Amino acid sequence: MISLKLERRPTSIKSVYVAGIPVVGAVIGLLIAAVILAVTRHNPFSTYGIMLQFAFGSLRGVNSTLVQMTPLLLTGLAALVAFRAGVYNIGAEGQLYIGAMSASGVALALRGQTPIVIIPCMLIAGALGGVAWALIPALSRVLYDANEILTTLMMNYIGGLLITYLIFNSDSYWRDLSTSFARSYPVGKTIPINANWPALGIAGFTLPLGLLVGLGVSILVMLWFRQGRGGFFARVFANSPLTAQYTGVRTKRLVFGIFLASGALAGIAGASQIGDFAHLLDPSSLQAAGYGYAGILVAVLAMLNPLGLILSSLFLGGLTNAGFALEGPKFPNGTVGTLEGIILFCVVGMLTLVNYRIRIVNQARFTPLKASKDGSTTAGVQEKSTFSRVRFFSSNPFGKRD
Amino acid sequence: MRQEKVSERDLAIAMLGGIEPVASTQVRSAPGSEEALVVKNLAVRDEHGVLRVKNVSFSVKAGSIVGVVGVAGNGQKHLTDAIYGMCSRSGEVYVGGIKLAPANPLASLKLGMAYVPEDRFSLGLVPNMTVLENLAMKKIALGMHCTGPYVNWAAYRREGTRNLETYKVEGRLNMRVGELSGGNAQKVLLAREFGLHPKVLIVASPTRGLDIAATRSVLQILDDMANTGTGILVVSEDLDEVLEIADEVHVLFRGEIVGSFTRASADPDRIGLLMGGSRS
Repeated sequence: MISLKLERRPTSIKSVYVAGIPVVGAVIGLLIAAVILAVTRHNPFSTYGIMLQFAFGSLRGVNSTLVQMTPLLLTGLAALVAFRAGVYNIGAEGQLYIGAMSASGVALALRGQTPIVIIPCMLIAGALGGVAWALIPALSRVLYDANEILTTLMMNYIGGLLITYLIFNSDSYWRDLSTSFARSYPVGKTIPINANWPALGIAGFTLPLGLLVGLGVSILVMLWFRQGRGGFFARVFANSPLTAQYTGVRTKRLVFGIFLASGALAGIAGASQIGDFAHLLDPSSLQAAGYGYAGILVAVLAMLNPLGLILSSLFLGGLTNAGFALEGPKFPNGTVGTLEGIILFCVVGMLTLVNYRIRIVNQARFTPLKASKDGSTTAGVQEKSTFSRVRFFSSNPFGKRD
Repeated sequence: MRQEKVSERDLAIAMLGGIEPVASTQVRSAPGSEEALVVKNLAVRDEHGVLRVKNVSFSVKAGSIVGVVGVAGNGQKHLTDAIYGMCSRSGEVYVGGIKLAPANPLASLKLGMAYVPEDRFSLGLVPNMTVLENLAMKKIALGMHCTGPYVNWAAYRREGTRNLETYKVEGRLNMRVGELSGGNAQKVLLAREFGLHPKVLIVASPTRGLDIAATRSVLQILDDMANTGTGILVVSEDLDEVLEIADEVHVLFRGEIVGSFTRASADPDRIGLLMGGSRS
């Protein structure tokens, strides 16, 4: 019987194959999705044409994709920094909420100041908000060895409930109570116009400040992991925590620092949501978007490579944007989600082949021996070659001895 | 080969494909008088509070090799880990006359202590990282070839190329260490530790799992290191290996030193009995 076995590659594969594997995954995903489209009576070619057109085919489409890409790049960086160091911070979602809360709070408090004062303060406040939210799981991990996956996940729920409380269940500083409409339909206070982050326009493309920050940080993170001492020790720790200790790395300090850096990046993503796009604290939109969780996917798609992260966040941003464009009476939300899910599943699934390979195993070779009536041993079911091998080992393999 | 006519040496030559094995390391320049490592009244408890090492004292002179032999499970790992600073301990450890702070491997490194743990692939090296990165690891921890947070990999690459030649490692700098054979991995580990120019090197089971050629090569490297003035502590359960290279041998049983011998007075039968727990 022939079966397939997944086994770890003994040697690393060439970079060109590593880059090609997700592309092959995307193609497989598109082919499978095409079958689903055909079954649901949609023309796959025209559907993919619309998706491409809306994601990357026009100036407007690209600008919308860049808007989607911005938070994904920043939360992807938060996940990447942590995962690459073997610290599993799943809490970018909550850290983003608190970053958004802090940045909008600072923007409202600094009303009347110039942008040059407000915007850096919002960035710092966002980062510190994310750090504050990462601090509890970080201390739990370092002091009590608590599982950070659970603690950060729990903190996401608390963060979501906190910002919901601030806008929907309290007369907080963040809530707009200036009109009777706002009192009846809770909404956050709009930040002053001076606190709106500027965008860089190049040849018709609009690059939000958050995206520029994300691109800059991606390069810094790449350099840090490639050339920096801290980045090197983070990689050592991720691969072998015990070896890191034997090497003299202060592992607790390292984990703590990584946690806080990751939290700061997620917090900046939250600040960017306020400064670049929403201009008010909107708990419903933030929680529905799920940028913190999507950041994990972006980081995995990039295989934890900071430059790959730019491409993967652009890809996922484009896919999300194309999904928005498709949605309508002909394309219910579920169909769009299924298409996106299949494509992403195939890409991520194919990434397994970077470190693993599939081997065809002929199990007939390992069929247990059966004793026949005359006392000799033969294999039950086997190929001819296998049969001769079994017979060889069932006799004295050393032949006559002196 | 007929069994009655074959000697151990003939077998070794046959296993090496007709190549003569490296000569046994018997001649070494006289050890210095300076104590490279002094261990006084060392006691170590494990994470469950069980006493694993009891009141152990010995010293290693610069340029000498001291062996600690014992059957596995008699406290060897706790002993070496505690000396290096991987776990808490009571008692005192001095390197080159300076007292070491407990449970601080970086402080031990800074004072000139190097350590080759027994499990080379899960404690000594990082199999998923390259030979170059593994060679550079401890030097980067010490801030060598670093400008602030920046690591000068070009310098490490030059040094790594020299190391591969000097230690006859069959591999390339950009290979993953996990792709190397056990012998070559051990050579990489020894090259890294010796590259620190330590005052004292602790090495646990240096030849475990190695073939005969790699074993000879590793023992030769240790001998060469001792000749440059490094004090070496070899902890192993392989009595033959320790007797071959050590100037002094201590026997560890149930966490205590139950016998000490010089090379001249070492009697394998007597040491074997002590390793098994016989006090007679």
